[in-house]
Amino acid sequence: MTTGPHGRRKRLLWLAIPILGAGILYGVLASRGPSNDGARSKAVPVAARAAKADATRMSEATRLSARRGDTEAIVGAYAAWAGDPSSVAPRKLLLATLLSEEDIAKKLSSLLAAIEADPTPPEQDPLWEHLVQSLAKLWKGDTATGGMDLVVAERRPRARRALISSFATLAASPALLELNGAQRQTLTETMIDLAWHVPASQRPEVTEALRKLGGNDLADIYAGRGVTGKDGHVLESEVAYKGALAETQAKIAEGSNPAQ
Amino acid sequence: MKATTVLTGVAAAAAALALGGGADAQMRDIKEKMTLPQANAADGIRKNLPEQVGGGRGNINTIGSSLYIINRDPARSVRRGRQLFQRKFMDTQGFSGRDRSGNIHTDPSIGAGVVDSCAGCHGRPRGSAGFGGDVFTRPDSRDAPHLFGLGLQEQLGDEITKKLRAIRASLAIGQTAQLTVQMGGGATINYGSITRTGATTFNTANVVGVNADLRVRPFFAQGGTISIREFLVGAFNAEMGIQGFDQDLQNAAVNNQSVTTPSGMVLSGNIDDIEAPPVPNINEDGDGDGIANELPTALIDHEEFYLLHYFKPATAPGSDPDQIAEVNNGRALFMGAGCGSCHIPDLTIDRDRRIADVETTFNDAQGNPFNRLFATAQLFGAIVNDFGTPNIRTFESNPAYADSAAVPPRAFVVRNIFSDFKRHNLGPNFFERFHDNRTAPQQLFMTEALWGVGTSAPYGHDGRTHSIEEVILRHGGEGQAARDAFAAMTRANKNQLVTFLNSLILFGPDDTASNLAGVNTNPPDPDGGGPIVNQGFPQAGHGAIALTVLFNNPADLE
Repeated sequence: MTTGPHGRRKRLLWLAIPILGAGILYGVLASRGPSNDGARSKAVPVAARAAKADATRMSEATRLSARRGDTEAIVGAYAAWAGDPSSVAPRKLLLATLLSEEDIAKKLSSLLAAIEADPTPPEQDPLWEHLVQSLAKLWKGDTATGGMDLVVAERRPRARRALISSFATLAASPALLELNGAQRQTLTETMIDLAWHVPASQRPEVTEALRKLGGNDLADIYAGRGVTGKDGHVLESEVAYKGALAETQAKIAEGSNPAQ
Repeated sequence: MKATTVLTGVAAAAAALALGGGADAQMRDIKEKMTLPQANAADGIRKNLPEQVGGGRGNINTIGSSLYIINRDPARSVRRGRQLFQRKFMDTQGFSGRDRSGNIHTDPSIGAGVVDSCAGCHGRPRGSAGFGGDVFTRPDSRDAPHLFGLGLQEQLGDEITKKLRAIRASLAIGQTAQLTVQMGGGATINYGSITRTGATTFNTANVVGVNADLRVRPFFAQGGTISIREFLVGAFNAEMGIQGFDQDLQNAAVNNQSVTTPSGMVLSGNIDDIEAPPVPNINEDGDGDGIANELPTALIDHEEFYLLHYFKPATAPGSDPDQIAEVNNGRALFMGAGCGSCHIPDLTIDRDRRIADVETTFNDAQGNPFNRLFATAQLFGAIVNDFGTPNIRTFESNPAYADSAAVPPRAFVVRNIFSDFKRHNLGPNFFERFHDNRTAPQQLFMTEALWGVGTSAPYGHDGRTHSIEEVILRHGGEGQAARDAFAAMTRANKNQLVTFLNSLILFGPDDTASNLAGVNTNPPDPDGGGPIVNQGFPQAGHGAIALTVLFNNPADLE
């Protein structure tokens, strides 16, 4: 693998191509306006203005994407255009630019800065799922180990939520099996430790992650079920414990060796 | 021009080198021991005390000085500190001699008696700087705590202090602020509130869990000491009768200066109460035993550096899936009961001063048969090319995460520590008591960091409680609700919670395989014919955490 400056430039160029290409393609398509011209009305000028605005933003996004190193400007634009439904595509392009950064620390730094800078509640953020999925794809090998530290260390609420969601996504995906045993255990511990500090709206995905990582009991304990034995719910581990106890007692009663 | 090269990756040993000494918890150096019949040069400490002192403190260009070694051959400094920790001091080296005829009510340390080695009280598990027996003192006895992760605790206490004081500094006159800090993991530590009443005055009536000066003191059960350096100089005096003069402590405590120790700890004598060294200069014979300068500064430097880097405790959830499930369920039950609100699992250091970390986990395949643990050392310091011989290896310019604003430079996540670095009232069952069972004034204690709890019974600051379950049930006061939640659990769930806590363990470094030497080259039972007895065990062949391989000259043993 090439690691020298020429190789690095070459890789940057290859990464720039799809970014620029996507921007140009979108710009061309947007400038063509609505394809359904069967019922043109007074709304058309409004739509045209919106399309023009979209094109302007896409043009700006394309320009920013070409200047990959200026992450501050990219993050700034990403945040400034938040809340505007028509800016989804340009913002997605900006995210793609941030994701194309090769240095994992820089990539995460700028991505999380962008996530935090966006004031949109995650439930209303059209790019949230995309963001979470993009982060989840990063968690492989040593990066996964570092990411699990990051999820503990991160104190900015929106960035932290995205990180937790990304690991919850990983836990529920086949990619979980690509982590080694120690990493899976660390992820389980991390998810348990963080679970009690997530907002209520994030609890369902954390519950499912715990179920995937540690089984039904873990999810039930998180929900407060089966802990005291007084809520009518019986944990699987409780059944196993009582079964083993009864079996041992029966063996002792019949005079056989309970260890056999 | 300085060039910086990051030391990345795992420092793996190409060859398993024999590590000199270390099998015993307490050791004599071989140059003393060789005068005895049957002496074996393979065990014991290779360097005698004057050789360990070397070139004194010196500077980074004084070959053999503590500053030179800490900065240019740090693994050697850590190792030397360990050998010092294990050393059995002799009368001729200043051990004891301390006049113990004083008043125990005014000098409680008299009740502790004397011991000839640090490892005499901190030696379990075998060969580690671990926990130890009951130390008889006043007003009550103490169980000697383990010292695993000591450097991380010092740093966490220091960083929490900085955050609290930053809040205080931000206040305008008349303004009140909550003293809450986030140290990662989503948890918030709340130290109450503070109000600025004047340019330099504050109302601290509502400050809780820390002194009014907002200085977190992580050491001793009641939260008494700020730094490793004070801790070790004080212990040498109080427990071993060895008085060391330390210019750093003198400058901070007596001269009210701000001092940075060779390990990077800032002792702010201008704003903090720092403990003075037991003697005011190197010529003072503090205990009248005819020996002055019993603990030269160079030795203090190495021991401080050693304790800064001392291993974190390990986690051992096991390899049986059912056991792992129990451990994980137990962890969730622990958090669900509210134990985690004070025993916070993970905390983050923003600026780690260490040059390396050792992660020790259960490893059925690579671990030794004694504990099935495997330790992985990772260096994250930097090499600074200053054209010295050798170049400086230092923590001072570690660029880890330098490009990430998401994580501050040199951040480190301290996992499984389970503490909040705050004093709490846990009810009368935890209050200090005199030996005649009267309640003593000390009623608040630091949250015990639970790492290592599975292997450090008995429990409580006084060692009065024999089991984990009982010590949980001993909680009251601020811990009452969590205690009651535990008490209400089914027997199976209580067992799971205790199983989880039992997975937080300490280990003997000589008995723990690592990537540094002897990666268990002889599996314990490769063919089912019985375990192999390894020649040279435990220092060669069977695996140990052996820093020797990281020395600039591994042939020069410590």
